[in-house]
Amino acid sequence: MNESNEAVIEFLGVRKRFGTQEAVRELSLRIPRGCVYALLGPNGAGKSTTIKMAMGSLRRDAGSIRILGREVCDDPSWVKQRVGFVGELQFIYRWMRIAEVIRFCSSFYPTWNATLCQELVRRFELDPRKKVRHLSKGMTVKLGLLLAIAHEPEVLILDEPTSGLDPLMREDFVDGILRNMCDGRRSILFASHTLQDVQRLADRVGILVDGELLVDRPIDELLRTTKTIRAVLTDEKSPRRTPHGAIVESVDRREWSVTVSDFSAGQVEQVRSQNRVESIDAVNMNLEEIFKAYVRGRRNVA
Amino acid sequence: MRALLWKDYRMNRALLIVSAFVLVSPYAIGFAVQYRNAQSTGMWGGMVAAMALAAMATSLLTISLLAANAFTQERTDRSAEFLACLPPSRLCILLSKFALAFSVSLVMWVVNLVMGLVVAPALGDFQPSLADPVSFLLPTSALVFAAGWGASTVMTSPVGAWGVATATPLVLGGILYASWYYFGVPSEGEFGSAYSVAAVVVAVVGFAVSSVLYVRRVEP
Repeated sequence: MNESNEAVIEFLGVRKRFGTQEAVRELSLRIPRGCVYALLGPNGAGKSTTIKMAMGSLRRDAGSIRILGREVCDDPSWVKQRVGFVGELQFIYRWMRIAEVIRFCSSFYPTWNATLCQELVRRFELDPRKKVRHLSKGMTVKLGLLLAIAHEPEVLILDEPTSGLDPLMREDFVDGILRNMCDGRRSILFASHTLQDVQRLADRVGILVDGELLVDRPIDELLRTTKTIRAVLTDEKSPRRTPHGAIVESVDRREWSVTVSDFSAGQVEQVRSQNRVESIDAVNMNLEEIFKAYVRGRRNVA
Repeated sequence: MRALLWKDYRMNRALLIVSAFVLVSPYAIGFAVQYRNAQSTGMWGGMVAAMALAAMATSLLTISLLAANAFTQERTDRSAEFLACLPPSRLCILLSKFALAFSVSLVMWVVNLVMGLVVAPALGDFQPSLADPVSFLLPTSALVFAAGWGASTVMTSPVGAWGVATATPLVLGGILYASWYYFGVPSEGEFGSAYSVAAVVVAVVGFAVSSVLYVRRVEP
């Protein structure tokens, strides 16, 4: 990563409501140049809605979204020429042949790199004569990726880009293609459920639950500072005081575990001094555990 | 823009073939039926004029289909969502669709008018007057085009948009009839011209409003 301070993608107080349901609440986030930002969240958290608003294909109710310094709504064509996008589902014209899709799309991008396109056609083993309707889901995803990458965009926005790819192709895509794209000049915003990919790629992580951004931190910092404090209580009474920064807690008979953000040794001492505990320790967490803790914590509160 | 035109042409290729068939078939049927009679009676001009009229009437079907299909087709298979993520502006997308649908409609009308008003008189025998039917069919054609187009900009189903296109002249006629029945306006002698004027006004306003709304809309 080679982040500069310039914000390439910027959400400011973005809100979106579908009827009575608030899909995105006061979303504010800033993705600097060169940053790979992973947006995580359970189904229905508002990830795709956020991405659709960023692509200018869904009207927001409030707030502002700027890509490369320009308001998306003000100049959508300018923004789309500089953004590569792969949606959750591929709706490429099914009646077109692959060669026709490529020719069609290439005409809209002055920066289209025909050599890179040919290389990707070979790498993805796409037959240019084949019609899109005859492609498998995985092959359609590959075609979508090719179209998003071949014009060498400054920004990549990917909504579940690897869903539908087999593990080998997914690995090739993540390690071979996306990693090459992360050259310090491009910024990538991607929503994913595949936390292994996120852990391998992302510089920064956002966790979106019920339309609210609960976490927006560098991934290393998140992994380093989020821990589960496990304590064995002296009796089966509920713990008196939860430590500051608790995300989620559970009590199973005498075993009490509480996940905390911004962990410090002081929090362990705080738990020990404020509760009657027999033993206590702090455990590191992986991204999946952290993600689940935030989602459960939010749902418990709700 | 060329790529969009190519795409719209390819998407509507089947409909263009149907349009060509609808354009040619009344004349072909007319020639086939009249061939023996014409040799004895020599009424080629009358036949061409009558078939031009029939072709104008049947062209309403294809014109409404072309307009109703303009946006709904891509919304139905959701390729509109793919197109929405590409750089062409909404205005370019709209202009490309309009260029195709309008030019085909125009060609159909020009061919039929030339056949009815130039070729038929040149053949020099008895023929029906086309002025009245044309003054009814041409505004109706504009109305079904605009209604289909307008419905297509907001609806998902091509069938629904086509239904709106075909129902609109009936609704307009019904409103004018009710106005005449209850208020005596327009008078019986002016009913035809009132319909024509109303159809053109509704068509122009409907087309303009729906086009502006489509361009300003964010969702595909």
